[in-house]
Amino acid sequence: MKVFEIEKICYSYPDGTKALDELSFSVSEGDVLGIAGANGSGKSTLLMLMMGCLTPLKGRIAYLGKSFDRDTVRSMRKETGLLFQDPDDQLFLPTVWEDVAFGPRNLGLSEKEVASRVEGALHDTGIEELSKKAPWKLSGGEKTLAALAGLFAMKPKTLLLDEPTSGLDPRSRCRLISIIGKTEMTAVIATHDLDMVLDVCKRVIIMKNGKIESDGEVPGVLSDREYMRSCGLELPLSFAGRSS
Amino acid sequence: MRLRDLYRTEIYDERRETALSPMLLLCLTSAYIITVVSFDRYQTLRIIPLAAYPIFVGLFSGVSGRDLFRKMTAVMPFVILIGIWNPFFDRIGTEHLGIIISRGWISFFSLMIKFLMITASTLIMVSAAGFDGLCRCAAAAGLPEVLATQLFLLNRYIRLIVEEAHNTLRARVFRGGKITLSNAGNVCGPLLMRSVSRSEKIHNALLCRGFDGALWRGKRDMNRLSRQDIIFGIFWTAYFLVVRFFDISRAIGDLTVRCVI
Repeated sequence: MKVFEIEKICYSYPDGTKALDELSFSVSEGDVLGIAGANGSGKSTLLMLMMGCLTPLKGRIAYLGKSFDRDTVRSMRKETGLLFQDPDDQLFLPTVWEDVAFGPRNLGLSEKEVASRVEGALHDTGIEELSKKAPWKLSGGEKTLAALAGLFAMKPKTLLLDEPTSGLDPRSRCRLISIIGKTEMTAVIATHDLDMVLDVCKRVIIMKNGKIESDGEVPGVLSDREYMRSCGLELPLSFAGRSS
Repeated sequence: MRLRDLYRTEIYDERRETALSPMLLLCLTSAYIITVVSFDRYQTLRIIPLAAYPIFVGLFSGVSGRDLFRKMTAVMPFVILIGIWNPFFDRIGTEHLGIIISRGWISFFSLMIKFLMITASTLIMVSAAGFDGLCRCAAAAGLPEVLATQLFLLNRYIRLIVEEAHNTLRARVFRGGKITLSNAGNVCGPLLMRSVSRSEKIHNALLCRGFDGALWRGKRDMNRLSRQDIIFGIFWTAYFLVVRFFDISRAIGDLTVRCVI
């Protein structure tokens, strides 16, 4: 079943910068899709469009077969979680616990169910000890995990992750990869971290200047050094190590 | 006080683990402020026993006295500027403990004491209850929820603009730039644009988690008062009434004089 269908979408920012140009692909249930590309290739814009935060100038986005309209976007947001590139944009309530509870409360759950979901999400992300802390007092990695807990607490069917490992120390990065690897959700991960793509994704899309350069199985796409360089990327470290 | 201290000091930053309900703190602090301002401007000594409330609640809530003092000193000059004219315009002398002092000075000290008490109690309330707790209580007390939500988000966005201002100024200063009147526009323009951009992202993040304008859904029952809250509230209300209608300072003074003599 297709979770997201994206057909020939175009998007330009108000200053005229073209971010996406005739982009088409689909995400099926259970897919763990990596989206890689150099800076400014349009990865974050794509996720914002998929979440309904931006509207494409041309083309169509559909969720579970229904084209985006107000109601579809609302129901899609109940089942889809977006992890923002900068977790500071996502965390805004006075404590981590309150922030993680924000989504479940908006789903209209009882306080008992909210508490159970928050405890579960904090446990899954391993940040129970941070629950009473103010989000703006956390380190970068802790903020990312707190933001991720906020998504997990909503029990989404699909995760959209924008640069989830940026700014994380190696241990936090491994932890995050292991958390994402364990989830059985459909996931779309926009990242520069190609080793992460190699670890958790089955399929990868390479973007360049707002267009899809390639879409295929992870090892096949990521192992071509010259091709990766032409897209402004490098081989994943594990491949680079093998080839040298 | 540096710009970043406005949000870095502990006072507003995180809710403390107080056993007191935000609703109780909101009601008691309102009653306290009304009591303080109800005294005549020459009744300086009668207000002093009311200092017990911010001291007690501050200690009970674990609010740092140092941070509290820093916040108060930031606004102190404005109060001094307003009150300092009293001694010039109100020169009628009055005798206190055998000393002739102008009523202007008495009203000036009264103003300062009232200011210290009101500011301290308000800051302690915000610190102990948390800004979201207060907004929630205000909504529960009848303030339209839209307004309470706006108030809460305003607090968040003020923090955001201060953070952005701090980052912008630091980026300039680290590269040897100075802020002068002529280039202030170049600083303020990007600062506003950055703040708008970030606030859009925050708003999008809220929408993505199902925000539809109501921040405190399902938290109404958290405004209920416990037995401890009720006892605490009754005690302090009684204390405010006693201080307001009986001259405790004089009674203590008379008692001390009798004991000494």
